[in-house]
Amino acid sequence: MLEVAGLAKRFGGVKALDGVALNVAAGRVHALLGENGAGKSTLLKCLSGVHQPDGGRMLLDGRAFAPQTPAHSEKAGLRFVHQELNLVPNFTAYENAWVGRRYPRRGGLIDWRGMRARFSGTCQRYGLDIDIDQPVGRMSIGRQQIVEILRALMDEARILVLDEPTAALSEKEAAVLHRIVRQLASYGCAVIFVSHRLEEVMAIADDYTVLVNGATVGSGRIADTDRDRLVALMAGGEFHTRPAAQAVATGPTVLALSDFAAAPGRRPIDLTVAAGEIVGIYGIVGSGRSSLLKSIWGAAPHSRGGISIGGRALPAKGIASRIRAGVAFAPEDRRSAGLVMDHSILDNALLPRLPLNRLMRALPFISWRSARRDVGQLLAQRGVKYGNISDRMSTLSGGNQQKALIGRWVRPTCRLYLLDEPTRGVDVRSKAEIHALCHALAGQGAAVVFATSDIEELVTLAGRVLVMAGGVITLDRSNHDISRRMIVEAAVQSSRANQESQP
Amino acid sequence: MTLISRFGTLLGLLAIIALFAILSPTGFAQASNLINITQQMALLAIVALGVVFVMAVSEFDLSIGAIVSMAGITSVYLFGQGWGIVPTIAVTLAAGFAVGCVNGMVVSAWRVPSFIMTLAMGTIIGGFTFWLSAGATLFGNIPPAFRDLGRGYLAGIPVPTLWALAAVLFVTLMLDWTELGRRMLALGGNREAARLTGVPVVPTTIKAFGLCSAMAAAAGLLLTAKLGSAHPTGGNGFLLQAYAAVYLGITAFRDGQPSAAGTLLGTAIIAVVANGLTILGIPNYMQDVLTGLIIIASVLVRNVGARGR
Repeated sequence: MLEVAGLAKRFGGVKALDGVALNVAAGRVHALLGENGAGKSTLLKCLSGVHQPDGGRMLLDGRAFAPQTPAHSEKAGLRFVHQELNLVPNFTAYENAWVGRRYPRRGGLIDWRGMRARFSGTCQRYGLDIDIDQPVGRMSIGRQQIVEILRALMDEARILVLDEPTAALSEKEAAVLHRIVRQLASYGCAVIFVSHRLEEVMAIADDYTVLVNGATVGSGRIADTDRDRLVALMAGGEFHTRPAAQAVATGPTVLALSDFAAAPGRRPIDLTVAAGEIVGIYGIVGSGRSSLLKSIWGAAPHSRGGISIGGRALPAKGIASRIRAGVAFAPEDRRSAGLVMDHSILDNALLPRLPLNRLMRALPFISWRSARRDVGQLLAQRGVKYGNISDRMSTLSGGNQQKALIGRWVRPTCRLYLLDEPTRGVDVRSKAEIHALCHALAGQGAAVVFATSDIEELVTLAGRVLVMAGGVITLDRSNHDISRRMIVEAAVQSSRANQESQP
Repeated sequence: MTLISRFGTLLGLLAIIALFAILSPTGFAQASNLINITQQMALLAIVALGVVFVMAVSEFDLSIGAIVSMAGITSVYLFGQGWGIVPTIAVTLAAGFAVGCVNGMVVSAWRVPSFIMTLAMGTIIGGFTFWLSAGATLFGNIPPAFRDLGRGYLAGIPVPTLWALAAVLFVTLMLDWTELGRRMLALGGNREAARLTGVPVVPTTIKAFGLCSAMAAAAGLLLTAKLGSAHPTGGNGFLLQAYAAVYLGITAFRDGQPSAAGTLLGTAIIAVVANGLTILGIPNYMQDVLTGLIIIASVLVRNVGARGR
């Protein structure tokens, strides 16, 4: 039905797509796989008419397909459901479904009953029981995602494109979505499904295409492959191999928390971290791992207890005192809390290290020449790929943004790195590079404390594993004698106990 | 297209100059008139350049018009009390700076929207200025040496023009070459990211508002020196024109950030249009209509250009 061959697209000096092939058949679910930055989003944007490719061809039913705007692509029968929700929170489900469409009219005025009936018909068609009169803002994310998909399905869709639809869904919600996808395929619609969850892909997709560095490296039927082969394809070229789990360090104490409570009502904790240690903090959402890192960083005052870095006590609040003491921090959400996306790569990387590039030591004037040189070197060492250092941060892929976010802090005088979800939404290669950086920093005698919601990352990176639940550390062990089961149990069991003790 | 989106505002200014030069070769296009324009735009440029600081931290300061008026009245009042030139200037600038710091403090530490805070502050200052002047234009004993700061020529260049050039250099230096300036821009670009990266939010915002208001006060002093008198609402007209100039300036360059050079360009457009239309004998109210249209058109051209990218 849809045939893409040799597709190419470049942005400035960066080749985003370079030889993409994709063949999608009617009535089949096609998984589009690849690391972040592999070109999946660019490909989708070419299909939706947001971008126009520089080369190659796209055919729809054998005829040339070159959408100039999203409206063209929609007219051709393509529907896109993006990862981010585009709903008006205080509109009901059926009102949302009609946003951007021509409203049904009755005597020149909006036919509210007709609007409602059309949408509830769509719901019934897919056997979904949704309260369509409820404002979507009060629904769970999963429900909202389903509303978004139903909105795309209100009129005949020939190809439905789902961009990581299950990333934020619970197991149950994902199952509902899978059912809709299969049902849709049985009606003869083609579904393009972008996902990082390989188990899910194996379960619901018929075909797959794997992109690496903007090119198709493999495609075929899911039935003819397996999980490991897909991982091997996606991993593509060489990347830094993972060093063996490090030995537990015995350097001097870098971070000491005593009787420390990040927020009022939380039970206080004690924690010491030594130089050369990589400490991973695991916990479910709301377990307090992020707020612990933030209060160590001084971004939110802790309510009781003391904190000292390298033996010196620090005030409860004040990021400047942490920076002076040699602490670095990378927040979990790089877009909203980490980087200024509209500013240049140079400006972003320079921000925490402005005083290092002065014209004269004593005066706060910037030497742009030395700043460009040093930041260029710093980013090159971290493997950040960019066109021009004056380009906007938003031109980088997620993995490169993350490497810049962490890498900009790296300097010899820094002795404690606080990294919140250091590899969230990052491709396999960048992940390996960031992990290698953590090992290198620890090897040079710094301490690394990172928080993660990914057990895989926890056990590959951490030398010492902490599990938090309800704001309390429920497990603190060397990575040598630990099992997955222990981690999961510590994260769940004690959070329940903690909730009971806090009515 | 890229040429238009990148240098559209500059090309626009040149086009406007060329148009007036054709329409009025003997009036507009004289060197003396062009030099005169730089003098006419000097005070607006200083006020607008101050606004760049608060725009850099993504806030508004609507009290600047009232501060220009206040500075004029305060200085003449102090001269009337027998104060010397240096202490009068120092106290007036300090008063402006202090007002800005209060604005910045309330806005950043207590999260009052700057729009509301500075509107209220402008009203308060307007009342204070009225009280100090009893609502009348003050002439007082303005020393001639003070008046020379706002009139006359130095090496053939009008003195106010020199002050405006100094202001351009000052703002460029502050924004592009000091750590404070980069922190202001980062704060304006993404407040939470800047905060978590160690930018001290409250002090940086206070300084931005302080610098803005101090520059408005400086413009008020120069206005008084130029006119030899001060009126309690004499500076109010600067408010909207300054924002118009800054917005024209933001559209001037591709990265869409407030800058000193862009603001100067924006001020020049406003001044050239006013001067050219006056020479052509077009009434004042038509000038307002045209200035408004030019602002809208410049933003339109930029947006169309940006879409083409």
